[in-house]
Amino acid sequence: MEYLSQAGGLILDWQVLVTILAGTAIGLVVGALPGLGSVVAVTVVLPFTFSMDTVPSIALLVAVYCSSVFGGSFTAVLLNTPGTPQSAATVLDGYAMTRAGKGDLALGWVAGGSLVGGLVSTVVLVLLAPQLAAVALRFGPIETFGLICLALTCISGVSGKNILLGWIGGSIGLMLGSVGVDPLSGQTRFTFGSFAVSSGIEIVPVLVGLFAISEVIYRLNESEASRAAANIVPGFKLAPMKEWLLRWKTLVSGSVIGSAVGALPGTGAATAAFISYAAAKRFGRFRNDIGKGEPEGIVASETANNAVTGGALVPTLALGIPGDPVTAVMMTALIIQGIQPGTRLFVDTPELVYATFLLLILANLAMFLSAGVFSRVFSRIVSFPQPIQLSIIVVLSVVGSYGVRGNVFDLWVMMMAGAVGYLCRIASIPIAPIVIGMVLGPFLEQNLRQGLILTRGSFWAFFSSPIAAVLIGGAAVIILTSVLFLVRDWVKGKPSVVDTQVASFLSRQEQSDGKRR
Amino acid sequence: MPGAVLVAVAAILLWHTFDPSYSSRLSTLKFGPVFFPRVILTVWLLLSLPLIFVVPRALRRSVLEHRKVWPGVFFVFALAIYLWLLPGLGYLLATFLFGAVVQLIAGDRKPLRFVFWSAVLTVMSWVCFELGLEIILPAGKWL
Repeated sequence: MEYLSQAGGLILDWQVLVTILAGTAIGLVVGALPGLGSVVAVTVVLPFTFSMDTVPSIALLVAVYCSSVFGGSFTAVLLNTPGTPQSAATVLDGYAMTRAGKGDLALGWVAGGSLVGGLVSTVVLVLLAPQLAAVALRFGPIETFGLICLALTCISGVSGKNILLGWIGGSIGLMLGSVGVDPLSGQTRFTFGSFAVSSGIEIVPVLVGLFAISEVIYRLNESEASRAAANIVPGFKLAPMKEWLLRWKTLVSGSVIGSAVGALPGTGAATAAFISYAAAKRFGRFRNDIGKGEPEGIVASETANNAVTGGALVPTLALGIPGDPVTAVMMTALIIQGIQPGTRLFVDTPELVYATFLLLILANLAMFLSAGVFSRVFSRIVSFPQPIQLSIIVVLSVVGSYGVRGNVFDLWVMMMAGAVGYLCRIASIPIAPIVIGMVLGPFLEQNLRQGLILTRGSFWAFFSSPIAAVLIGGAAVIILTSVLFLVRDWVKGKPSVVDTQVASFLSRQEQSDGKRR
Repeated sequence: MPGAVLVAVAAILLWHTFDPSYSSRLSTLKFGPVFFPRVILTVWLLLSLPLIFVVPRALRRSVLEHRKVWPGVFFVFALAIYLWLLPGLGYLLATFLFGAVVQLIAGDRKPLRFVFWSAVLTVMSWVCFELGLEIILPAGKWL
């Protein structure tokens, strides 16, 4: 309590509060631009911290970090353009809500979910940082492989009845993730002599192509759908408390998943968002509507990806191990300030650790309050006439995809992904599994191969780790269950995968024709 | 047809993994650079096999031919030309022209409006990324 009051004294300074507001605004804008995200946002403000005092510099970094994760969801919800992989799960229900004329509510769910996720993860950080850090140390390649396997099961969840097509998409995503330099041997793979491909296929252009460019093509081809999209209520609206309470389990589970996954080095917000989304799809109260514009899907994704911010600081502060590039940049800033993260930090400067916790809470509150203002600005974009809207999406997509590596090849990838995404959309083939495969593929491969090297080639030895056994077993059960449900439906004479696909396609076409008439 | 294409692509890539250039003498031994892709490609191949027999039935009932596709085709074509011209023309000029073309394809028939918006978008995105975030966009051969 003594340290907490000391920490309170440190942060109650106008400089700190102004820095939090400025950091929140910068993070929201940079995070909302496709292709940028948290790493760029934190790196952009890093030079400013050199001339600042310790607490304001931590405040700036924490505020930018939290709000940049949140900002990525604005364009995901309003423009179907998830600029970063961590917003990819949000787009599935968020954009569906926007199309249904509930964009303001969707942004409310995003902001509320993010706030809850951020606050819960801060509480977790305050109460359990040393314990979580100890658990995180028990996660070697084998356990992380199990966790990624569990995350991959969300492919079944997002595929609906098209499980077979979903897993094919997932396999394609996993393959795309393995193009380029092999992380273990350094050898290039599947480049076919092309120098441009040797650096691999970047996730952001694929993401932008599959969602944003395919959306542009879709809207250009579907005039009725476009008019419906123009009927959007701009702004920010919070759902009644009753609605939030109905989804409390997902709020809690998403926050816990995000905090736990964030504490594991090398996993990240996208993995957490997909695991949480899969959990909501399987156990959520409104699981049957998730993927069709159900707020529970947004809540699952947003609580988890924002809870990662607190979780990721656990290994960084408690062990001195940065879990991802963002925390690595933040750790650099701390070291420049003369603070050495690690086990001694909690003993030598506890007031600074508690100040960081309090700053996280303030940053999350500032993020939530700013959401109201920024939502109005961003949602104006979707009120623009269709041609202007589409050109905004295209220009942002191009700049965002190019900005990741400064490579025109990425723009060609974006274009091809856009064409593929459009074809998948009109054929009702789920595109999210491709993204999930691409996000998780490199982690899966690296940990599998490291695990196999550790166990001298014995996959069965993976099960000697209780954590890995539970995680891999859980993943296997989930996959088998979904296959069994599929077989049961087929035996009972319910429509097959392809028939369902064709039926939904035909019904959409009939509706569209009806509107035209 | 889609099933056959998927199987063919997976088979070609799987065959490619046996290319001698991938044989490695590194300590990772059999878990070399193509170990994981082989596993994934095998899964992809096996999952795609049923589609060879099932999907054609779906395609026969497809109503793709009734769908308006030309605006999308024009857009992809314009995007390809834009990407081809981008390194030479530079971001500002190429994006200004492309932005105007996109609005034209999207049905805007007011030249002043689409020229204005295209210019605003191009300049704003350039200022934001190039000056604000110091992300270097293609300058072109003329600058």
